[in-house]
Amino acid sequence: MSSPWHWGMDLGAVATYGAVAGLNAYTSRMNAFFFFSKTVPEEFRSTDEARTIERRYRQELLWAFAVAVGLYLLLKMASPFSWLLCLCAGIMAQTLAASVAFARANGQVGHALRRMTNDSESLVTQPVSIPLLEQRSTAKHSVLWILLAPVAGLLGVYVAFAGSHMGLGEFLQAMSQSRADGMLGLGVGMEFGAILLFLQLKYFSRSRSEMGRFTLEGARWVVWLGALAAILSATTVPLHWMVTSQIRIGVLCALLAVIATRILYAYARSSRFAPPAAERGGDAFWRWGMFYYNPTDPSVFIQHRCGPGYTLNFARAVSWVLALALLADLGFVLCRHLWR
Amino acid sequence: MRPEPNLVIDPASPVPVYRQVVDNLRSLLVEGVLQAGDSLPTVRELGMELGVHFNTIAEAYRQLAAEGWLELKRRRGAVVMARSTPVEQAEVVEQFQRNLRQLVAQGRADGVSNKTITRKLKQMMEELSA
Repeated sequence: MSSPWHWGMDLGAVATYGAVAGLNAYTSRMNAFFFFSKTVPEEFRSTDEARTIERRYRQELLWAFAVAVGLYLLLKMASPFSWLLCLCAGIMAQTLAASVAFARANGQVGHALRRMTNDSESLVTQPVSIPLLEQRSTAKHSVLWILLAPVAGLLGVYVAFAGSHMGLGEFLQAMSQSRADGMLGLGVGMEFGAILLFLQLKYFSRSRSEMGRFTLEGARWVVWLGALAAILSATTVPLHWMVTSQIRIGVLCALLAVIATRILYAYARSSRFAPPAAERGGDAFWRWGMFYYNPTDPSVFIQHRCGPGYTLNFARAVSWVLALALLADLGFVLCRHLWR
Repeated sequence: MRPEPNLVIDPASPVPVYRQVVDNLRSLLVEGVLQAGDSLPTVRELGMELGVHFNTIAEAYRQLAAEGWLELKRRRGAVVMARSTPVEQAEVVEQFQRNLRQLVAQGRADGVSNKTITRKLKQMMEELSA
């Protein structure tokens, strides 16, 4: 237990909890339009009350960090769970505590605003202005670009296979014997995930917002990266290329680094994106500042008020099905892990 | 260069959203800010952007299409049509007068003076004529 490897894992866990706490602190104030998911006048941020709310929230984030580290150490010392499971349990506890802190801060901002204006309704009902002749991305082109990636991937695999003089049966057998490295699975997974994200944004959400367009571009980008990874991986089978574990880890790290850079870039950019017009002034639809509930809104996926990413409109039944499916999926993975 | 046409909706207004969309678009059409050949967003796009059901927008588009302002195209939104001004009819003038009387009475009841009402009407007519 006292080997440098174990110390490194513990330090990695603490660093992960620190990063989660840092991200939480950052997202609470990163958007110029909202403060703890409440629409506030510009002058509110500079008031003593706003500063107090923010300071208290940061203190609570520190407590959440301490809870996560404590739970991690406790589970690691007193349970048979693996390092990864202990780490995830800590992250879940930290996320829960941070969410409670955020909801509390959101409520405090609401009380402060009511005292300030004595009329909370005036803040949630600002007129909405929408440009009618705005240049929109053409659906045909964006659908074409996203569908071309898997076609290109399949063509790449076919060309590699055709040029190798390997029979189809032999090729498929080699693939099934895992001579193709893990990049194939990752590449296909990236393609599948990006296409799903694209469909969500294109047809079930407010993809006309700036952030939505930025995310759509990201989906197109990921689908092509996935196609490239799948082609590279599948080519190694018929051409009998030797892929050492060092090369595999190197390529995998490069891919993950590219994805992480893109996510950080999205966080940096999101503070500059104005939220969709209908979102501005829609405080009443954000329960505890986190959960969107608007029965009159036809969208299923709604852009987060702070930071990149999307959440669900819980006024629609399909959102509950999706959320439960996700929880069931996580539960299945957890049970399977514990059973093993 | 013509001004950028914006659709403005006030969620706090007691006027239904469908009515606001119709009134707003009609103003833009009469003022010439929206011109023949311009393509408007589809009902689904506009509904999502405003956070209202697409049927609300569809109803507004249908009314403007019935008035001859828009041509509705399936899945492609609506296109502004070239529309000639109809001949003035006595019934229409009478209806307009009734509406205007109600509006002026509402304004007077809310404290708007006769002078302001006259000035605003004149200003509005000048803007529409321009």
